[in-house]
Amino acid sequence: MTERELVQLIREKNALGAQEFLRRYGALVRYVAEPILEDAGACEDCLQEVAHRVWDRIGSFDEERGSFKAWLTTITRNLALNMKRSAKPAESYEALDTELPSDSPGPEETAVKNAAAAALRAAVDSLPKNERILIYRRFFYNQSLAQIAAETGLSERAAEGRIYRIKAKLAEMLKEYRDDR
Amino acid sequence: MTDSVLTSEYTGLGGPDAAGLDDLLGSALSQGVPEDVLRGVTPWKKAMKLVFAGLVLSLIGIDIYNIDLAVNIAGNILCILGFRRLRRENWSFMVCSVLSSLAAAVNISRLVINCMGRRLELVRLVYDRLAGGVLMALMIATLVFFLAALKLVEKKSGIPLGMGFAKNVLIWYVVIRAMMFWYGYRQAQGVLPGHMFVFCVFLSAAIALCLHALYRLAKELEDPGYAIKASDPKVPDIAVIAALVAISVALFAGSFATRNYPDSWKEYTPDANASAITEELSKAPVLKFADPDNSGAQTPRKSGDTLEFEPADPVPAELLSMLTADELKHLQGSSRIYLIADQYSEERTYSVYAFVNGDEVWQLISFAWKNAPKASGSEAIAVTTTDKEDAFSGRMFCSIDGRPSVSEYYIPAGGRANYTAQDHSKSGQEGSTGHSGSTGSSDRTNSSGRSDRTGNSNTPSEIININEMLNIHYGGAGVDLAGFTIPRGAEDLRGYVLQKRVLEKDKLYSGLLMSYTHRTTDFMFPMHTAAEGYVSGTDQFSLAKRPFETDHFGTMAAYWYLPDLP
Repeated sequence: MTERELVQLIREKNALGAQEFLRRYGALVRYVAEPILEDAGACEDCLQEVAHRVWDRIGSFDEERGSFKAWLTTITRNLALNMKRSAKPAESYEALDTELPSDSPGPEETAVKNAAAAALRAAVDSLPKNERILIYRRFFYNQSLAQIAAETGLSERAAEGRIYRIKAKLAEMLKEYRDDR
Repeated sequence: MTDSVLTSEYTGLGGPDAAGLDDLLGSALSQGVPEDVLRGVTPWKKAMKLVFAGLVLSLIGIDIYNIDLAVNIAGNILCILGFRRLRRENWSFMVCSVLSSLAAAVNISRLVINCMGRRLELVRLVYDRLAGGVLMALMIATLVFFLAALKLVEKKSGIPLGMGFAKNVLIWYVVIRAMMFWYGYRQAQGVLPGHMFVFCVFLSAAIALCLHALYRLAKELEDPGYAIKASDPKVPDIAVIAALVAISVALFAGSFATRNYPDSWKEYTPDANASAITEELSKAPVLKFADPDNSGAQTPRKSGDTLEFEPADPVPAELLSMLTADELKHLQGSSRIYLIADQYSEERTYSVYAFVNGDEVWQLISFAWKNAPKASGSEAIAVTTTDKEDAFSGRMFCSIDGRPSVSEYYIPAGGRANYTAQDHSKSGQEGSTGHSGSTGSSDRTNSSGRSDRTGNSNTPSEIININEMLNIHYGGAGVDLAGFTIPRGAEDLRGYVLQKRVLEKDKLYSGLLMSYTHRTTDFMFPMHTAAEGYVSGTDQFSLAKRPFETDHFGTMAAYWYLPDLP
């Protein structure tokens, strides 16, 4: 079954599509979720959640904008991050000082941060492929240095050093962007 | 770039310090992953790419500029890098990883033997032969276990794949390999004629289909491949590559130091005692086979042909002047002298004279380069001998910087031991067609001296085993190897071999007389001396010029048709 046929089955809400989705993409979802959640049980929950979300929101998938796998990877990654955040214990209500101003950024700060993120994304896009892959591994997939080292054949130290240098390059590019403005 | 860059405060866009930049990267990339990055982030695909690139290079058995061993080692390295990532996934991948490491070790050991140079050159031939067999077995085992490993990944994923085609192709690959092995063995024994080109075509097709089938399977396993846990590389790829490349380059460089025979060239001073005999022999009448129909044949073509002789030019004094006084004394007083053959190759001329002197017949084989050789270095002459005591003698001459120089032949280690006694009455009868007086650079296995081999009774027992092993490779010994090294800038290169032949039943028999193996290029990899080049064969399927070429110069039939001796 091709990817397109599978998507079509899911669009038609055919149960066979859900079955095939889990069999075919289960490994990918676990691969993306595991470094973020770091827990096998949570990964299985994530897989179920992702399956539901794909089933429900398949309408928002646009083939023109990218592959199904890329769409699925992004959904999984963001969902896993949300699950991780929500799993954090909440601070006790009593501990909050209602007299203090809120920590959440204001509209201006948000706008500046969004602009910085867009500039950074553009800077990442301009990197050579190998460097981009390392950055995505570390900051999109949230992979550990050990995993990056194992899959790329680098030593952990070399992976760390290389990522550090790429980050320095990005910081420099960001600085140039700021200066231009 | 230093920490200061990452920790510096920026105004306007906020100021991402090291942690801030990490957070910002996390949110900047949250929109999605580009397709090329998606394809690059997988534990399976890169490992598979390495494995397939490695298998392709390891399977290349044909030479590309004589670097087949280097290509194979590169293939081994890639296979090691690919399989070691997957070794924890299942036991079959672990076996593949071990097999790749073993193959690399075998190939590197071949380089080590290369470094031993001429001292171990005949051992190297045996080792190379054995190593070739071991590598072939390792490759077949690797392919089988690789298929088994894919099967296990398929089983784990629960996605059924069609593996029948890959299995069938793999079986055909093994069958063709086995047939080639058998054919090569029989060919080496002189039983089967011709080249293995057809096998090479089938083998190439089988290899291509085999790799294609495995590649297709690996591709279909890309999605289940995300479940693979890549093994922690205790030694990074770059360190593995650097170590193996450094070892290979060092050994390759080391082989250059030992690839020539000992240089024994010295200034030549003519022997004053020899000049009188030289003058006498250079005036003696010489007979050669007549060529009434002007066919160019220097010998009768088949049994029953009328033998006619005609006078030939006397033996050139320049040729005789190369001989020592002692050698000339064997020829002095010869009742008849025959010009048996006078042949030319592109680069060299050859002549064979037979001096009938009582019960003895001495054959004088000489060769001369028409121009200065293009490559300097080791050369070898293989001379058929009739029994152990019947050694040949000879020397090389050349002009170095205008000075006439002479060199003894260097008998490679085991060169004389290479001898295996022949029953010449049989070898002469059965191999007496087709190659008389011919000069060519191919089809050595059809040469008579090789194809009919009987009797080792005169061979010292300690060398029989080496001979038997070598026979598997090149189809028979019965030759002495004489080597020498052409110095750089040598001109007027020439030499000779003087050899006594036996008489039997009033006739004279001889096998293949001489093969001249010349180094054609200074770039040789793996290293071979000319003697190795001769016995290991220079007629393999190759995309590049071989480092050695051999002229086979057989005149057996000519002797066969000599008239009965008085």
